[in-house]
Amino acid sequence: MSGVTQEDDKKPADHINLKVKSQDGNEVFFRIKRSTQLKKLMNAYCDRQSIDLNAIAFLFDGRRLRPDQTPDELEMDEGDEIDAMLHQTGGSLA
Amino acid sequence: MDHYKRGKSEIPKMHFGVETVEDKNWFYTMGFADQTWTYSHIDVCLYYLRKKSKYVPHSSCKNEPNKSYKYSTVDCNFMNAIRSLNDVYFMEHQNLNAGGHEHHLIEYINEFRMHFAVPWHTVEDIVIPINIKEKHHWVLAILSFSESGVFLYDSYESSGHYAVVLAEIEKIATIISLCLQASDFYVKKGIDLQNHPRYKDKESSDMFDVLFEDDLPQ
Repeated sequence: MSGVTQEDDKKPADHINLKVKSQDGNEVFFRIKRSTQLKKLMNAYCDRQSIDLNAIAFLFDGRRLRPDQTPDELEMDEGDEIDAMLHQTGGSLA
Repeated sequence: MDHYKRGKSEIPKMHFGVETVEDKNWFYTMGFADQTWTYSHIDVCLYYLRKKSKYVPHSSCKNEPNKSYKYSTVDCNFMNAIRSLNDVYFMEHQNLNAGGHEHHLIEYINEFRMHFAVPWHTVEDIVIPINIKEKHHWVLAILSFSESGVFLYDSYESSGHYAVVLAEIEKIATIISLCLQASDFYVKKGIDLQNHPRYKDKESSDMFDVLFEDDLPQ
C-alpha cells in the first residue's frame, strides 16, 4: 500500500502567494494562479478593505500595476509584496 | 480632472518605467496651468531623474568643476513608509523595531526598493516628494548627507501652512536618522559621527536639521 507518493502533497507550482501591504502596515495574503490577471486580487483586496478600486494604486517594486497584468508577466516570486497606496494629489489652488 | 471628452482621450499604451499611460488627460495635466498633479506624474518625473543620475555622466558642480554631483530619488510611497514608522516609533515608546516595519525603509536605503535606485551611501543627496494631504499640495525635500540637513522647497506660502509642512518634514528627519544608523549607513559612507563637524554634537534621533529654502517662485 505504498501507492501514495510525496508528490501528491506538493503545492501546484502554477499558484503563487502574494502579500498586499497597506500604507499603515496591515498585510493581507492572497493565493492566485500565476496566469490570473491581477484584477482579481485588486478587486478582492478592495472589497475586503471596503475601499474604492479607483482610490488606490498597487505598486510592485515602485512600479504601478495594471489590472490586466499577471504574476507570470511580472516575474513575481513566491511571497512577493505589493504595496497598496492611496491616491495622492495636489497642486491646483482651488 | 478630464479635459477631453469621455472616450476621446484614450491613446495606445505608453510605458514610462514605473507607470503605463493610456489617457491623454495625463499629459494635459502635466502641460497646462492650474492642474492637479497626482503621484503618478511625480513618480514618473522622479523615475527619470533617478535613471539619469545613475547612467548619464554626472554633471559637475558649478563652483567646483572637478567635483561631480550624485543624487538619487525616492517615490511617493516613501513618505507613507516614513509616516507609518513614525507612528510606530511614538506609539511604542520610541522603539523603532516594535512593528517590524523598518525593513521597508532600509530597503530604500540599500537600493532594493525601486528601479534604477542606488545605495544611499554612494550619493550626496536624496530627492523626496511629499504630499501634504491637508493642503492638497506637493513639496520637495532634499536630504543632504554632507550638510546633515533636510532642505525644503515649497512653492506656496500662507499662514497656517508652515506648521503642517514642518510636521511632515520633521518625521523624515527623525525616522531617517534612526534608520541610517540601523543600516550601517554612516560606516559605509565614511562619516564618523563622533568627529564629523556636522554630526558630532547631535542626538541620534535628531541628526538632521530642517531648513526652509526662501525666495522660490510662488
